[in-house]
Amino acid sequence: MIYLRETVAGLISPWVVLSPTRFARQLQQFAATELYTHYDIAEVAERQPSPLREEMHRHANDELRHHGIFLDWARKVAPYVTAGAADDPSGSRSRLEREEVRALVAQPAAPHRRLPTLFEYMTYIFLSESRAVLQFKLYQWINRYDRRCREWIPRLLADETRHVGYSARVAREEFRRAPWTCTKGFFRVLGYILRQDLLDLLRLVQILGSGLVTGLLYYGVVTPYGLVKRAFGGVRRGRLRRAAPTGPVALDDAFWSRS
Amino acid sequence: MNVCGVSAQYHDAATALVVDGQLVSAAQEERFSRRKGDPSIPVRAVRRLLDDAGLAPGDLDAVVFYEKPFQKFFRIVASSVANAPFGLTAFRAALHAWFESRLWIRTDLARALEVPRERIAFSDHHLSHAAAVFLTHDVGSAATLVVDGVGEWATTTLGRMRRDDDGLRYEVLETVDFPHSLGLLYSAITAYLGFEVNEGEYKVMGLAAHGEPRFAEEIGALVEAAADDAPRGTGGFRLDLRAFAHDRSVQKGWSRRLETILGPPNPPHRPFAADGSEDARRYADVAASLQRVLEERLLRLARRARELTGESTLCYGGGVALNAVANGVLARSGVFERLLVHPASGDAGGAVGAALAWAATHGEPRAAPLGAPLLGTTPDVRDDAPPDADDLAWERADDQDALCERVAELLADDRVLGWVHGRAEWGPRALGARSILARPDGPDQQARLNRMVKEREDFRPFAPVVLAHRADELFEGFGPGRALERRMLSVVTVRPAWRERLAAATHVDGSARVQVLHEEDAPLLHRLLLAFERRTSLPALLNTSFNHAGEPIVDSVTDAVASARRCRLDALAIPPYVGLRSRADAVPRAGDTTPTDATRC
Ligand SMILES: [Fe+2]
Ligand SMILES: [Fe+2]
Ligand SMILES: [Fe+2]
Repeated sequence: MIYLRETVAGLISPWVVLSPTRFARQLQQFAATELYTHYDIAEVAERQPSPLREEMHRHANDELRHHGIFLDWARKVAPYVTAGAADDPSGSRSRLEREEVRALVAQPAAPHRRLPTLFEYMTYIFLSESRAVLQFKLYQWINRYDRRCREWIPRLLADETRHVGYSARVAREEFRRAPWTCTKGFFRVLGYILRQDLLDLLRLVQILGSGLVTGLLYYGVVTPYGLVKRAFGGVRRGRLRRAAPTGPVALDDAFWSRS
Repeated sequence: MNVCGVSAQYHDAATALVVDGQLVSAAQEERFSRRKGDPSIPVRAVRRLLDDAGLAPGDLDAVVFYEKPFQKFFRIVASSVANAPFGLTAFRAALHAWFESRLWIRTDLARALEVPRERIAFSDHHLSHAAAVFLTHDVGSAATLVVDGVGEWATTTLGRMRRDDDGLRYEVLETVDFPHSLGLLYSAITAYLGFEVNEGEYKVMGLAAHGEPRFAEEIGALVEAAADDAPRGTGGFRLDLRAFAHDRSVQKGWSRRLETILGPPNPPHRPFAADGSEDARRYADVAASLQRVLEERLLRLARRARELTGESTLCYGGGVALNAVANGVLARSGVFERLLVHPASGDAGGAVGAALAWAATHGEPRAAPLGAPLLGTTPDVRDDAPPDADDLAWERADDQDALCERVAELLADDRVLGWVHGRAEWGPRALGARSILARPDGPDQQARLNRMVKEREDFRPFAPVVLAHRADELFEGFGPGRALERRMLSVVTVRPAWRERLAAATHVDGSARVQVLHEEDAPLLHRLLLAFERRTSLPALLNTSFNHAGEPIVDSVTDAVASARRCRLDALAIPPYVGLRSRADAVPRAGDTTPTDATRC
């Protein structure tokens, strides 16, 4: 169930990859996610004891590297989409953007909010990373005609597979320590992820739905009306109204209030 | 009475303030929001202009929107009906935009500007354009010609305006309706050439000089065709809609038929290659042909306006009047003795026209003619302390002469310099209030500046500003009275003897969009030019708008400092201060060999 979104995204990926503009935007989106993950993990790592802290920092640094790889890739796919970045070789703007993401992550949690336990966090990481692995694998396989997909994705996949491995290991260790609390925690994380997915789905439905409604309106109402009207010589594409009004324009109060 | 004109919602939102029948200020929202072409309701600009005038929103007798949104909406509905079933994308986009914001403009304006609903008034799009020209000049009656993309229904309006003590009289004589539009034809081909619509039209005009009009006949035929029920008069034109799709699609304004005629289009946003390749030549030829056809059409319209009105003055407005090359052709044609153009002839200028027209019909028809169009804000420079920027070493000049001497010295020494003085310009051209100045000579100067300040295509030249009393010596082909050239609204020819000394300001075809500087228009800049002339014997400077690629022209001192840093200008003059960047920081000359990173700004 939770892998459904990645599967669909992977399957329709050629539709994205084959359009440089669309692909570059998608890559920029990937880059943004990686950057957010980088700060998020680094933040949580600070609260962990050694050697887990080092392990998590290594993970965080991987994500930062991925961020760079995706940006680079986007630039190569469609320089014009990422032109903003080219205006800014000194990097001051991208530094600023990074600071913004970092500030977002560092926002103090609501005072009564319960921080996730290590088990919960690692389960969350495990699920997200394995989703990423699935999506990248599908991407690589379906778009193997694309040289960069063939060559670049494996560079990411190696890291992501390692992330899946260590997060699963830490989660397992935590589970052994307190099986019952962790079971409850597992469902909490699952619930959280499903809720996020549901929100994404609702957004999509909203977009498609309003498209559907305008489509119905256009083909069901506007088109028949237009065809009838044209058949009787009312309007034509090149002549939307019979005659434009000419002559003196009365610039009176009625004129100024008419909208 | 206090009247505020507003134009917004498409691009270049702007506002204008008219107090007791006189235009006191006007500004575009982008100057304050720092978003180029910002279309949103100009809240910041209105606040700022009201503050500067010492007024509160409650003091406004009217807020006049520059067009009638519902009429525009009906036209769009009619177009959807007429195009069904082929106009779904246009229909969807229109529905979305209109129901989201455009239909509620009265409420939105009232709320955003804090004025009662009943004080919001609505002008007419082409009336606003025409009034912006007519009411800012000292004329009692004139023919009007408005040509743009589209207003409510009309894309072209021929008319006449008169003012007397009773107010303003406006008569519409002939119109051309959407979708037949010279503005949209120009936009469609702008997009076909891979430039961005509403931004790229200038580039097409610049590109035209590189080409031969070998497609003029084909493009001309697209405008002429199907004249069976053309609007009355010979000025009327129709587009061959089989080649266009601007009424059906929001993404693409042309059809496959156009591609069979002109060849495959340049992919959008692809950097333009001025490399002499087959394709690059073809695109330049298309641009040249389009320009030629536009000029021919405008001449016909002007002749028709003369015939219908018998007037000797033409007030010409609308987005197409931003085309300075065509303006020059119209002015020199002699169809009218006087050709008047508003400094912001695009939709931003509609804010001025709407406010002045409302005032004129409410007992205040005698607006004074607009001199130099410096209607913006005054820079917030302090007399006792230099601007806050530690990347520049600031000097304070004792008086204006010392300042001009110092700046002239820097310019003569080939420094590129930002210049911020007095009220900001109204309209898209920098006229010496928010300008980047440099020497106009040197073979590499144009490439250097293009790379440094604008990061733009190499085929676009910069504009010169010249001392009025020596203008005829350097340039030829001025229009009557050099009225347009005073505001950079027209293009003239550089005399061959001067082309080398004005290399960076001369286009490939020998043309230049000059600003003829009279002392009364900008006394300090005039003095600077005299000082520069004494040092170099050059009576002209290169003058380009003060902004970096993709950002609007600077407004405040803070904007100027930030932009100067981004462009790595060698110096920044904000009288009485001059700030210098150390040479190590500055952008290297074109000839220098440097790592590529350091040459970008
Ligand atoms: Fe990653
Ligand atoms: Fe990862
Ligand atoms: Fe317009």
